[in-house]
Amino acid sequence: MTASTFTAEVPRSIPTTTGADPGAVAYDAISAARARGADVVIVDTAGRLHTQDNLMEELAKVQRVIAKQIPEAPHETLISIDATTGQNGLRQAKVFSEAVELDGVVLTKLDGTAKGGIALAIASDLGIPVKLIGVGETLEDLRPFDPAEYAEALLAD
Amino acid sequence: MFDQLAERLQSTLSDVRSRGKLSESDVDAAMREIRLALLEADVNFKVVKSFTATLKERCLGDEVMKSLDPGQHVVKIVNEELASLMGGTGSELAMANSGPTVILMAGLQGSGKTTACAKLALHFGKAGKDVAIAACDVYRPAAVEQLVTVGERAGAHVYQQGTDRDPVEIAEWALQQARTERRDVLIVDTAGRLHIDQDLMAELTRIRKKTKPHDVLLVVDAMTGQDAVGVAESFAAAAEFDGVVMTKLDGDARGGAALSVKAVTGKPILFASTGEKLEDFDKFHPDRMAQRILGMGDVLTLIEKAEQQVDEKQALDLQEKMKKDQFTLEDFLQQMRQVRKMGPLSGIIGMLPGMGAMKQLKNADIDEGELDRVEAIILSMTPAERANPGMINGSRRKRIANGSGTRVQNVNALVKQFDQMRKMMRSMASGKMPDQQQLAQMAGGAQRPKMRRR
Repeated sequence: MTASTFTAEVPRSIPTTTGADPGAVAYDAISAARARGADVVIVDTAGRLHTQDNLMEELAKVQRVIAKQIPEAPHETLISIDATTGQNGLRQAKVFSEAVELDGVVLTKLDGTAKGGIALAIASDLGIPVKLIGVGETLEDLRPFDPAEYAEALLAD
Repeated sequence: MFDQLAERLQSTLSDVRSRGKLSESDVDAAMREIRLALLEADVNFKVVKSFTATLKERCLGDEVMKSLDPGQHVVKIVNEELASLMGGTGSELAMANSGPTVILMAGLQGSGKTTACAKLALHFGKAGKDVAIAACDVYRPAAVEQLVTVGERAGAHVYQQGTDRDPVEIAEWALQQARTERRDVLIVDTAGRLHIDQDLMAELTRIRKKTKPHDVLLVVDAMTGQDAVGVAESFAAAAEFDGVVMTKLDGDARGGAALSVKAVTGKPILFASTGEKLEDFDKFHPDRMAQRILGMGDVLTLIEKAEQQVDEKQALDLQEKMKKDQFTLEDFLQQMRQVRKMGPLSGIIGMLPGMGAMKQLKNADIDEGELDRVEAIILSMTPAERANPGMINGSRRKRIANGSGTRVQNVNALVKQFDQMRKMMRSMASGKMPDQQQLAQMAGGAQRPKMRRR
């Protein structure tokens, strides 16, 4: 797991070795970010199936470690959902939200043919809105979610 | 996987079975429930429509309506049609007559291709084949490194040329290497690509032309929804794939994509990836899967897995020990390890026939962590203690608890349960069947303590 800080000019990564404890890495990242006066810390975590209780617990621990360092943190916890995912997406969001407080969804791979309709259920049933969408493989292909645009695309053809 | 679908189909069918004679409206009602169950399982709506139409036609035919037990016939028909939907009795990979068998892996981003390559390599490795994997994903960061890591772990040779060369050239070169080095199998990993990305689909076609694979496999994530069919159709048009590898079946996805792909493309599911470890990879048997979904269990797979783990002589010796009441904690440890090597217990339970009816056992949610603790406790005992748990007094219990990182209560519970197990074996040896209470007491130890109130 890497913690990166982005300045306007150059992204800086905090390198870790595999096998390190994710909570410890998050802690170090935030400490380093504070020391360097960074504005944003993005904490990436390993992909995990929601059916693995121990990994859900690990995620909860990372969130707790972050909260201990900065009281209102993490300010945003986002779950990444692949737009091709079917009904299971709702289940994923539900179980993840039982482990950590989720603020939003990043709906990815919308550049494909999948419409990611499960995001509607996630927003309606769980109250977790889509905040960002992924529309391609380059770094620039991340956009804020526009509900009107999405609705239009959903109903097209 | 398929749990939700299984539960609903089994409930509909048990209802049908209990009715005796069936009217057309009974059949209609059942078809409607089946239709809903399949749609909620993410099966493509076109597939659901045609599937239930076929079912209905057969169910209203003489075979069912004039039979003495129409309900049972309906179950038989659903089983047959479900199996046929997924591919019938199963298909084989085409193998080369001479030179390496070339297998090309394709699919969307994130479907699990790279891991599937390593798992497939291990699968062939276990069958004694010399396997090589070609690293043709030059786009995703660290894709080549990942393939090298997992490929070597699977015992395969990984052919790679970094990320600066054209994937088609790498594939061509890899094929040459495989021929020169006389490998039995060459698995070609490719980058994930959108089926609507014309450039990358054209690249896939070029790789196919250059490597002339004996098998092209489409890797599909089991949690894919309605989109699975469109993806499969597009890949079929561009790459003419021969079969599907379903991945991430260890999740709780409904699995409808699995049911839809064969129906729409005519291509069977050949392999199922069922967990995080490289060993969690099996040949897919549609008929067995249909039986599991309908609660008939999958005894064949259970037997195969057991055969891989159990030594017949050891099993006979153990049987003797049990009869003579010489079964020790050491024996218990060996048994537990053998069973656990067959895979996660939640998966094994699904293979036992009739588990659909035994709801409590199915939802028992066996706590593998509990089994780890039991193992640790036994390993903290001396051989003498394992052979004769009766000698484990207070101070020994404390030592064992400390050594295994558990509490004395856990040690007490294990010793007590083992004692009950031996009592049960003694009474079985003298001809009596174990009663429900004894079984429940024994099962109680392995269950998660978490109980949700409704």
